[in-house]
Amino acid sequence: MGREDSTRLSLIKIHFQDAKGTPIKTIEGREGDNILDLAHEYDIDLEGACEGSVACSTCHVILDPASYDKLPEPEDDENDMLDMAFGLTDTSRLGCQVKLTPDLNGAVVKLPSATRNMFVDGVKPTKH
Amino acid sequence: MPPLKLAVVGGGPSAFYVASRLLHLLPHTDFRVHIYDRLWAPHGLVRYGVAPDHPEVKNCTHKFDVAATDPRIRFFGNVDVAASPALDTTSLSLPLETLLPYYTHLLFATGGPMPRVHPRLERSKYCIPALDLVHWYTMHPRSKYPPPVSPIPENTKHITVIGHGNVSLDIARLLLTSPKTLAPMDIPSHVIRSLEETWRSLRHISIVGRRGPRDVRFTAKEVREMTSLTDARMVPIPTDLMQAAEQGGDAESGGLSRQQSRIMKLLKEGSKKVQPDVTKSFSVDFWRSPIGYNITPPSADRRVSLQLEGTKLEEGRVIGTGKVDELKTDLIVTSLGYESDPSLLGTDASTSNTLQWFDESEGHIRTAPGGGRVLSREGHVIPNVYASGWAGRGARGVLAGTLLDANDVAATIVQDWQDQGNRTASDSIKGDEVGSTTLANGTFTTLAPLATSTPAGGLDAPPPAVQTSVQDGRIVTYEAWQRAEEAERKRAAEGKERERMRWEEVQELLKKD
Ligand SMILES: Cc1cc2nc3c(=O)[nH]c(=O)nc-3n(C[C@H](O)[C@H](O)[C@H](O)COP(=O)(O)OP(=O)(O)OC[C@H]3O[C@@H](n4cnc5c(N)ncnc54)[C@H](O)[C@@H]3O)c2cc1C
Ligand code: FES
Repeated sequence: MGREDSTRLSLIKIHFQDAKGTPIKTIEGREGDNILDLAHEYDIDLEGACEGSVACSTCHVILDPASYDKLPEPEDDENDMLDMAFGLTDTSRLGCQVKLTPDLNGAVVKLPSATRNMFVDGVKPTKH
Repeated sequence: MPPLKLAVVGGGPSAFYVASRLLHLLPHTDFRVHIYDRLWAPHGLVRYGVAPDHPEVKNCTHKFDVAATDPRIRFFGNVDVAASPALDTTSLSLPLETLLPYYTHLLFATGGPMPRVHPRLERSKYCIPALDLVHWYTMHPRSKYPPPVSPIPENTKHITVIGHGNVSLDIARLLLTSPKTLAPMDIPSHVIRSLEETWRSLRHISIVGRRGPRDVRFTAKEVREMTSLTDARMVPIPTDLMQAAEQGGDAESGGLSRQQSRIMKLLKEGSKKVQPDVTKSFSVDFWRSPIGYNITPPSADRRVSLQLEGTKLEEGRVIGTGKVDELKTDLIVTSLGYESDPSLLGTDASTSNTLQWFDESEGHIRTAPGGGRVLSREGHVIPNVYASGWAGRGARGVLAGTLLDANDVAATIVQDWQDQGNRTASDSIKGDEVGSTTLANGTFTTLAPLATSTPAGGLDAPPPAVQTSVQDGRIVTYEAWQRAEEAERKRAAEGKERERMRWEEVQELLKKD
């Protein structure tokens, strides 16, 4: 990404995985960045229908338990939306509400399936 | 390989999510998607459904705008795909079969535009479906209440909403919010004026459901908004009723889901809240089912007397207890869900084979689970025909669900198309023959089939009637819609989100340039 070496120290590594746990990309963000914006910046297939307004649940992500525990509890409005997330887990959060802190370095962020149907989920972008 | 040229009937979120996903899955393929909507404006229920005090929900249209800028995606507003011409003369009426030869694939994304009716509650001035109100405050082009008419009768003090879903709460919340607060939002100014009048008389809204607190279809956000209203207080729900629901004492077993327990908690907290200075109120009333109503003489204090029968659960089913109460009210609003409209498939089942794609008992087009392939009554896949969103899955669920479903359907379309391409290549049969074999089962007999090789008009052209109407301005393209949308924002009073336009105004605007 052509960032200066001197800023490297403050970069926070995040490992994105798909619904099956296969690594997609490891990216480096800065303190205060949120997971939805980072996903978009790095072309990762995470939807953000309401653009971070806590009004949709499409930016649902699943964190590794250790990282989940490091985050402050979700607010009521986030929980209200998580109620409607498809495939909710105990470590689910809304990507637009998770802001990076240095102690999240190395966090694993799993994207839930982009479809409900694992059969068609195998269809990947083609180039013909 | 035959090309992919997809006709989409309906231009709501489902249509645009499918188009968007196709762009994602086939970034370098020269395919085409033509989206037709019977309304001049796109976006379906996002424009003509989502409550005006939830503007963030409408942010999803930015993604639709991006999809529409891709030259492979085109929008044609004001095209009613219908078996018989529509009553209004605004839109171009196009029978399904005239569309088919121009496309290789067909997707129904027509939503669920018909409100479910209650057999015991006849429509009248004092008993209307919730959709009437929604169409009124969103200025739906086919609203039964063109400006300045209001669906809410004069001097309405008490409203009864039937149904425990989010649309019921949208309506209750808007009517119990000061019109001053609503004025800057995306609500037409004439509606605000009518709401001011209703605000002066309205005292109470009763939200009635035939089941208990465990079975509400509200979501937590909407319940929280109700219990946080500043100008209306909640009538406490009887403690024993809540306790029975929590303990499963209402004959239902099993623990509470996360959603259920959060909603019950909100209802309990709302019941405890004290707001002494507030003159308006609402109640969430459980275990009641309407069995009829009478209109009272004009001298009476309330215009309607509604009979509500007590209900209870027996083996999971709701049954009446026989105990009937009268509820004096001024307006009954039914909010019982929606069904798809089968009429675009044909009007007579004996002459139309396509009408059998409609599942009468489910109220939507019959689809194979996951992926949206349309099925005949016998369960055969109709080749290259799909249904997505509320049209294919039934009218339930928020945009997040509509999005996931659209992703499924797009992936299935791509997969089927690629499979067909591979088969055509390996068996070296021509597309035509593949088409005629699959059609031999008779599913298309009264219709000109979809194209199986190069479609009529080539990859680009829509049917000639559409082409002509684009030229004469009757059909609204996406660019024209964006101009109208910008004009709506510009002409709004200072601080107001937008002032919606009627079709006549849009025509004037588009003529100018
Ligand atoms: C009142 C209301 C409020 C809602 N609020 C929210 C909310 O706040 N948040 C949320 O996440 N979800 C909300 N929803 C749910 C959300 O709107 C749906 O999930 C979504 O709109 C379904 O998309 P769709 O494209 O399948 O159908 P629709 O949005 O209904 O789109 C269907 C389109 O097809 C067109 N059409 C129909 N028949 C024809 C025909 N024969 N020819 C041409 N065009 C045709 C219609 O004009 C329409 O534009 C709400 C729903 C309602 C009813
Ligand atoms: S983007 Fe809508 S809740 Fe996060």
